[in-house]
Amino acid sequence: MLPDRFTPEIRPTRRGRSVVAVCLFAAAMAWIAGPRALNAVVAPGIVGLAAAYLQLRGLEAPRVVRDLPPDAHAGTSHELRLRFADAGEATAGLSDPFLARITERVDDGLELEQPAVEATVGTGEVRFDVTYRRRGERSLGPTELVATDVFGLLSREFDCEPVDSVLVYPERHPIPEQFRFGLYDHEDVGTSRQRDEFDQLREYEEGDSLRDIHWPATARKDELIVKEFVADVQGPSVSISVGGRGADRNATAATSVALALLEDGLPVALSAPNGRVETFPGGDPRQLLELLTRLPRGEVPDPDADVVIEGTHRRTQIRTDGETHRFDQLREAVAPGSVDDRTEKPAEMRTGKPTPGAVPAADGGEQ
Amino acid sequence: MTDPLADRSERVRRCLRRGVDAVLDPQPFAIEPPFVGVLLVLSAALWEFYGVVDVVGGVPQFLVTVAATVVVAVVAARVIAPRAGLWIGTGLFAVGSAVYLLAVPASQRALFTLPQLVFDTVSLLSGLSVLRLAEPTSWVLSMAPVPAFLAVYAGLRGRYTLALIAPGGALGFFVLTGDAGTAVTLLGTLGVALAFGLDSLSVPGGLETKRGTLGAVLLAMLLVTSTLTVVPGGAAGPFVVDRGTSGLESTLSADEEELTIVGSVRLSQEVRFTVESDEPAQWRTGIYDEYTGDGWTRSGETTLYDGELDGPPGPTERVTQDVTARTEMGVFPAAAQPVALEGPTAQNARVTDLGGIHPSVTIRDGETVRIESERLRSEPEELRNASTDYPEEIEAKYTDLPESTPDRVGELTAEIVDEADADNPYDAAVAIEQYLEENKRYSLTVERPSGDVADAFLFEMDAGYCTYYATTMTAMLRSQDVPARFVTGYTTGERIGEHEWAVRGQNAHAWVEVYVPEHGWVEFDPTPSDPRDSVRDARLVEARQGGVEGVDVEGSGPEEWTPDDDIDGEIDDDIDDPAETEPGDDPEVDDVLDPDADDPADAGGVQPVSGVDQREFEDVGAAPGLDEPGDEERTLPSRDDVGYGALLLFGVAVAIRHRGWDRRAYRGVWLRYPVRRRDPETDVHRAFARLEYLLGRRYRPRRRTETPRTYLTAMRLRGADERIEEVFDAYERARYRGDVSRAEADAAIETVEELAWESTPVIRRLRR
Repeated sequence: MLPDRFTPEIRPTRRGRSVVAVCLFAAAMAWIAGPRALNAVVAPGIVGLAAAYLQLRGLEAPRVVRDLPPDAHAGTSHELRLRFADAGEATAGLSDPFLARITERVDDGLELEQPAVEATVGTGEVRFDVTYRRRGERSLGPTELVATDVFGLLSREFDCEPVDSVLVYPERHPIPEQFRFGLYDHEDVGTSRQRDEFDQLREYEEGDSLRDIHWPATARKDELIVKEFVADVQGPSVSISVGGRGADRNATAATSVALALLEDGLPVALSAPNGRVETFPGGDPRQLLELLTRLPRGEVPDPDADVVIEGTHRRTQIRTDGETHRFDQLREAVAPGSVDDRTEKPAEMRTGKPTPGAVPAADGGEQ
Repeated sequence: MTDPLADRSERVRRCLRRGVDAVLDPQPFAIEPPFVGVLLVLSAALWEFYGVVDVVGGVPQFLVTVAATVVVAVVAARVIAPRAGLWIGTGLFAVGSAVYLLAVPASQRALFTLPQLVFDTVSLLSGLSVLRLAEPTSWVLSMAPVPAFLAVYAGLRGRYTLALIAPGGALGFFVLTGDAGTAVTLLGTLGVALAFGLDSLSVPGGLETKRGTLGAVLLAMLLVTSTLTVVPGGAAGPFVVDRGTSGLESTLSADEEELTIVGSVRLSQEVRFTVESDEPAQWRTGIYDEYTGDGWTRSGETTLYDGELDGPPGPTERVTQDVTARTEMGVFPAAAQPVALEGPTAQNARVTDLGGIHPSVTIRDGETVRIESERLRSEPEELRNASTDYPEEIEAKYTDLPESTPDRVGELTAEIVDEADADNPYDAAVAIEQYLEENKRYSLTVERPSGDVADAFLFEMDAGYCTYYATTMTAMLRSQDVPARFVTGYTTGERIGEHEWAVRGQNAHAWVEVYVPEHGWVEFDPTPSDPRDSVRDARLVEARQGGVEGVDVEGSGPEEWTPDDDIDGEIDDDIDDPAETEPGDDPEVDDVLDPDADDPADAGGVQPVSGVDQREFEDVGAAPGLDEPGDEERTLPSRDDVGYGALLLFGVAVAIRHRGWDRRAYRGVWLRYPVRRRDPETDVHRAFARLEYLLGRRYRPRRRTETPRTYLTAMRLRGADERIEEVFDAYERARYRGDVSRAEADAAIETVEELAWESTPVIRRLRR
């Protein structure tokens, strides 16, 4: 009906509709009962609306450039920064900045303190405070822009690509010392955990860290070859196996236990329904965390492990040497004052308030 | 026993606390940019309120009320929660309405029925001035605090919608009543726009990036409004005067209550009515009591004509007039003071508070009304010796001047009165009348002054017509506390029979009535009559020669009724104006009034409902090119034109600067017309700078990391002309060896010039 250049997606705001109503009323009154000074009401109104239309007509959806927050545990808060660039341009900043209400759409597992911000698009950064709620790969975007003219009379919506994602690791809680010390002879701990002593090359197995790949050998052999270090084969390695129902709870328990042991200086060998990984103290725990982030429901793969973490439909239990603990009780055993300062504490542990994300989420385990 | 009691007291306490929590919400003071816009709108609204009290009195009370309201609003903004603030605003409106109702006299309050209120509201919104309200001072004092409070309170709280609605609504009301002028309205509208804009721009980075756009749009609003009219120019006026068709009545009005003084006017030669009367007289049609500084309004209500009215208290003589309309007519022209009516239109006639009688339906062409008048017959001596003990309501009504009237009006009047040794109001009036007749020239072609008309006529203008004379004389008398009023009507007209006169549109006139206790209203006419006669005669002859219709009636014509010459003198002696100081004066003066010529649609309109038939005049501005005497005063552009022109230029300059056109234009000239030559090195450097600019426009500017050499190579690859190499060679030699010759420098300059012209769109083809 209308030619394209009339860009029908431009709509009046509430303020714009009021202005239109006032102008129509004034024009009607002028027509009915004489013009008086009504021109001074109608003419500026029309100019304002026309100027608003011109300001919005030429706009194009910009590309959003996200300064992503790090992958981190559920329950932590981070800053997300957005900048905007002309579509097809590499550098941020718009040739024609405009005013807009910026709404960042995020996944269920993320929560924005303030999902919509009014700002100038194309000049600076826009900041959002994002709180990680639930483990998993969480998406950010597309960003919705509602551009307005300088008077806020008309508006036009844009969806800005692309969509980015962050990994939210399972929540982590402190583990009481007596429980940890029950697992190993702690005089052995802390020695010869270095990765500098090269032991041997072997074939890649699932769960090996990418940075252990020996590229020169890989290039020669047409298959992935990894390095093995002395520390990997020596010393007591604690094996943890996790499975059962209530994957969220299990993931939280496994993350808490594994990280606590790593910080104590023990290598950890984790097996889970979706794979296994061995991690060394001082090394990068990312692989382990990724595995637990994606932990599904499933059988405990290694029921004879040093630590078996198994979820039932009600609770998650931790079995060591025939002893069984309930994970929720273990958490309660850590009195607020006695918490090990080195461990990263989720916010709710300090305030005493539970957060929604700490509740085991449905993956079928609750049914 | 104690338990329920304690329980109840606890509940009451909780309730109170909740109430206090709802009301109190302390907040630190914060003035944000949009508040500037709110203040602009509020100023515009308050200016209109001020305009009312300036006319009807009460400026000090108004200022105190507004100042107190603003202080209260500032304090409230610090401690009171928004919801409670809104309630306070609404409460103020309710209390204001109640106070106003109580201030209105009981007799009028009885008329406040619902249909009446609805009709009055419609009348106001369709253009009836708020000055027509009963007790306008009380109305202003009770209503002005509402927008003042809400604007300041909500503005400081950051609730700009509410802060704009309150004063914006008040201003809108004044626009609809026709009281607000374009300038003030535009100020208010721009205030709203500014507040909207600054509100939108209050986001981070908004002001830095978009203030240029905001300024440009605001400027565009200003320019468009000043130069274009976009609203439909309906010819309609307030609904209330449209009695001929609707028959509606209002306590507010039953007649043309306002008279705005305009600039140049034209005369109409059509006959309006004929009068058969025992005696000639000036036929009065309208009385006005309130002087607004730029016009007159009539206050008070009208009542139904119900039997004979009281005449003046002094010695009177009865005059019977048979007025026959020769066109549709909305007035009863009669000698002062009309007391009785006969005829079909007498039935629904209405009597104003001031003693005028007005028909409530249109008198049709050919219809005759018999009007009985009681004319004052007091001798000048009696009037001189009359007491100055004015009745209170007369003094209250007829000695008011706008408070903005400059003091010099009163000072000059006192001087004139002193000089004439006048020790009574009658002599003072004679002295003022004489002063105006002698010191001002009669002209129909004047530019309407911008300030107070009386002050301007006295001190700035040297010529004017009857409206100016009468307005000024009334204002001068009032400055000496002498009750005086402005009346309009027609001069006697052309005598067409022994007792019959034909009155034309050009006979429209305005004069003055002065109140003398125990006698009544005495007529004075400060307009010099001779010049009016000549203008009138010339026009009438022209009209007759031009064959204009309606100029003559039976009995009228180029030859006046004989015994012509004697009659003029006779008439003058007979005229019931003891103050007439020029015995030779022909009362048949011609003048024009403009009851409401601000509205060009009214000029030349066909609604014969005003105090003076609106066809009597045509605003010269609305009909340029028609015969106008003394055109020289209109050759200079008016102040408004100059102002708008300057604004337009400013706007264009801002736009050019905004788009960077000035720089481009300069660069364009700089590129093609090299300045005078100096030493070869400098010339070559300059030529190269031009070349770089040229290439930058055509391809891309040189990057900071690029040497001239690599840049030129890149440009050559993109297809630049090979001649740039020559220029670069010369540049390199000038720069690094310093031994470039005059000839080489000239060659480089020429090459760049050629390249520049070749890149010029149209010229390129011509030079080929």
